[in-house]
Amino acid sequence: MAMTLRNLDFTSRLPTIPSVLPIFNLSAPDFEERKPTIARLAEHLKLGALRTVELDHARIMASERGDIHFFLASGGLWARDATVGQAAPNELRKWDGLVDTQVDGHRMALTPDAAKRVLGRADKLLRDLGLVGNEVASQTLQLDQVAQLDAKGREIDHGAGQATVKYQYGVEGLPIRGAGAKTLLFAEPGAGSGDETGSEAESEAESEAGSEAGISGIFHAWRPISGAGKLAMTSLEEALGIGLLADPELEQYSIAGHRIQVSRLELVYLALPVFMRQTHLFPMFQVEGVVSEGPKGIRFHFGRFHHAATPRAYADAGAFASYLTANPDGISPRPQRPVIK
Amino acid sequence: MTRRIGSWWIKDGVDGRRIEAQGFGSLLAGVVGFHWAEDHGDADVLEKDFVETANYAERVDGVDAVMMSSHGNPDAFSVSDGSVSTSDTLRFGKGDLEIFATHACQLLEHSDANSVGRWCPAFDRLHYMCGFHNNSYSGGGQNARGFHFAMYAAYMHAVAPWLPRYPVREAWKMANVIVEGSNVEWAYLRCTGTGADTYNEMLTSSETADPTRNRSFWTAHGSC
Repeated sequence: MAMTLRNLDFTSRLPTIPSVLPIFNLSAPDFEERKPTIARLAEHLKLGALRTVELDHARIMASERGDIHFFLASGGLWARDATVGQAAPNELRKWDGLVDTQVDGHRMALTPDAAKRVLGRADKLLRDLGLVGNEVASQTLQLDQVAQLDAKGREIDHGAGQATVKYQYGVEGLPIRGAGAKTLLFAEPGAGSGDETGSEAESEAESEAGSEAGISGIFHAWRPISGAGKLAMTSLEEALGIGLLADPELEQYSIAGHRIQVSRLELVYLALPVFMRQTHLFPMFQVEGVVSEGPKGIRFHFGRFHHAATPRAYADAGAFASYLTANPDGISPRPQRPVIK
Repeated sequence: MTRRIGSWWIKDGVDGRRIEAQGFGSLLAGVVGFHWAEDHGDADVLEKDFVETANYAERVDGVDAVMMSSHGNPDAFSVSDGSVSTSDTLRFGKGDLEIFATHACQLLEHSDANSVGRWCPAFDRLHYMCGFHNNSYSGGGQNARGFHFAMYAAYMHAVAPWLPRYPVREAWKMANVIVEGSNVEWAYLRCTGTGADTYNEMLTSSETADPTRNRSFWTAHGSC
């Protein structure tokens, strides 16, 4: 028996469901389209002569200095200078403009000026590579948070590691989430390959400011959008009934008497990982929450993506794909009785 | 010398958890120098295989590296007959275990209020605990996490030995960058010591030195 809304405690705002949502067509750039970008990346990272290896999911071009991966299913890219991070003695990095914000769990950050310089460099590189999509919704910088602990587990030092510049995407006022909708640039202080894309004036300004951050890697996961169909949506409760309220695991815990608190419930578009084929960008619920301790075991946290529209609605929109019929991760809700009108 | 690999998983109706853990073992099973030795699911995931128990050899310590897919919170992860928590007697690595990777949400949260140092007593000769600072996901293509961890940690290098290797910490990060959205934060806790610097440790077919002298720990978490 599927759950109802009464089985869940919502601490997040409930999303508004529009009556109709676009369902977008996606394409995957092929290797020929990506060749100039790959060449530019190899040059930027100073990888030298590359050799190719074919794997089922990716074509990898590598030298002893680093590697570039072209993901066949999506046209996604991953590139790294393998020498930079491994040359360091540990995870800590010396950043100019590093501040301790005291924000619990994410205390280390760059000053706005220092962050702006890294973001500017990342932006320029992405534009040179032709990888900035029209649908970019935000650009942020996040530092890896690092701590050293003694043999007893007491913190004896803390600081920042590598920086990640994150581009996230959105369309039609909705965020696009999942592993297939992000462009990440990994930056290291003093990484040698950073200056060549900047103008002389920019480089001088950065040098004076003491910022020599360079890009040591990039992960690009974005399938270009081309056209859309119309997907009829239902009420929130009906939409939640398609996936979340029929979640086989949460249902088990609910029946056993555990309380389920939902702390995040957002209507989003889902982009699948770069190693998966995806031709339609479709709406999903992004859900996080916590299940209380109870007869079946400990309190635990969960994160989920669940469908927000039925296979029938997708069929009516002329969209057919395996991931529109079932959850892409094997979460198979129990078949529900057909509604008899 | 062959490295022994293990997979432990609790589906709870989500078959992706099985696929996630078994993907780690099954990919390495085809690589020379690795043996997928242990695979335990659902009711066969037992507390005594992780918690020190009299007159019993914890099965998790019969392997070198394990991928475990079950639930968690900052202080414990679930097994079929209870949980494994920081208040239990844990001696990971007292036998063979060097790398413990888990899907469990928030297990390696590190904050002022709750230091990840709570897990340091679990390290006997363990080198790495790999997990998450916040919530990991299911339902959006995360099934392949274990497969890609094995891919970057060891498999790619077996296919093309000239490829620059990925240390364990980079392989875990990459496996999660590739399957999770950027709101999720990978995390790890590693032990290091004199003669056993684990910063650039790789998952190879040879045993690496255990950090047993002048030990300290490093933790990091960052964006997927």
